[in-house]
Amino acid sequence: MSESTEKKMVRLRSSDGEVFEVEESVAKVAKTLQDMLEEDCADAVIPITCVRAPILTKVIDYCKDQVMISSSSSTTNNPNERTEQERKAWGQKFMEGVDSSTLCELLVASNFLNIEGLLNLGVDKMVSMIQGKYPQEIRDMFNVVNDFTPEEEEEIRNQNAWAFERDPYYKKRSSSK
Amino acid sequence: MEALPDEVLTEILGRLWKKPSCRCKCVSKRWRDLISGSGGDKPKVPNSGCLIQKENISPTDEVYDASNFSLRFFRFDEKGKMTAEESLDLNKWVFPSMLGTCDGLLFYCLKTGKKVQFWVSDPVTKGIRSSPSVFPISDQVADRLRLGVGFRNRSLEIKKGKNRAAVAVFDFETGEWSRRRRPVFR
Repeated sequence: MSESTEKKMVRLRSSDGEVFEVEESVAKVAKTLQDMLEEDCADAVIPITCVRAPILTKVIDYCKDQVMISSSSSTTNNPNERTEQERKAWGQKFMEGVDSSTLCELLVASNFLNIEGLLNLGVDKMVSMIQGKYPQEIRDMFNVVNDFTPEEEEEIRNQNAWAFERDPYYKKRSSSK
Repeated sequence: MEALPDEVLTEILGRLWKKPSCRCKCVSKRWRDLISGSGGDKPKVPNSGCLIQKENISPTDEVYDASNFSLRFFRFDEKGKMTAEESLDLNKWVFPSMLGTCDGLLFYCLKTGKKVQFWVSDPVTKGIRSSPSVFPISDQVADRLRLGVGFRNRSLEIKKGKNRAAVAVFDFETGEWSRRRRPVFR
């Protein structure tokens, strides 16, 4: 990548009206935006209607990082290249401290913008949050409305009784957190 | 969460282990329908995958990394050449139990509710064979199922029924079930 060519900028507008200016290469990490840019509507501000500004910031952070990795991967001695382990650690760090509602929004955004890597990170995070939990805890965490009648819920519970058996590990782990 | 499209939620639920996945059926109607299907529709979440599926092990899943319970299996072809190495990270609530030994082979079984899966390993060659899929068993059988191994062309025998008169045999070579009429114990 030569320094002389001026970097083309793309403007994105979040649902709450904030405008972000990013390099085209960064925006192109999102497949949805890439398609739009290739159809040549780069001049206008691209409205991203379902994503709020704080979420979009996070998404852009991710895209910038992806660009940083890929742009340097062509050079022989690559300081930014990551091993599998570093990649995992980075993903973990990126998702650290993301709460459940932010996570949902992040998933919606990465699904809408079609960013596979970010979607994967989000899904994995979500899975790890759900894994050891009981239905009521999951509902509380993600604000899911329980639309079962108590009888219906009891029935499903009975059908899957084995899944609700006391785990010797469950208590230990939840108390350690 | 309500805004989350079905395909994303399906992806999430599909990566859960079997036990958490069953618990999730209780969360709401939408979750239940995705996991176990609604009306005549097939479930959207892949059903067999949750028990043991290599790609389901998520890199960010600290819980299971920490438990660090994994089995390493090696696959060999007929000539004894190693073709694949596989490590299974198992849900810590679902340990495979050892069924027994027969003809120098070790038999393992993973019985989870209404599903059974088997492995046979050969300690000499370190080769492993697993049953082609997870076998569903019916409600009545699930509680009374007794598993055992027997020497019948290196097959795995499934004995069921109170008097053990009814014996279903799972042949590991062909991966098929058959029934034996003759009572084993008189």
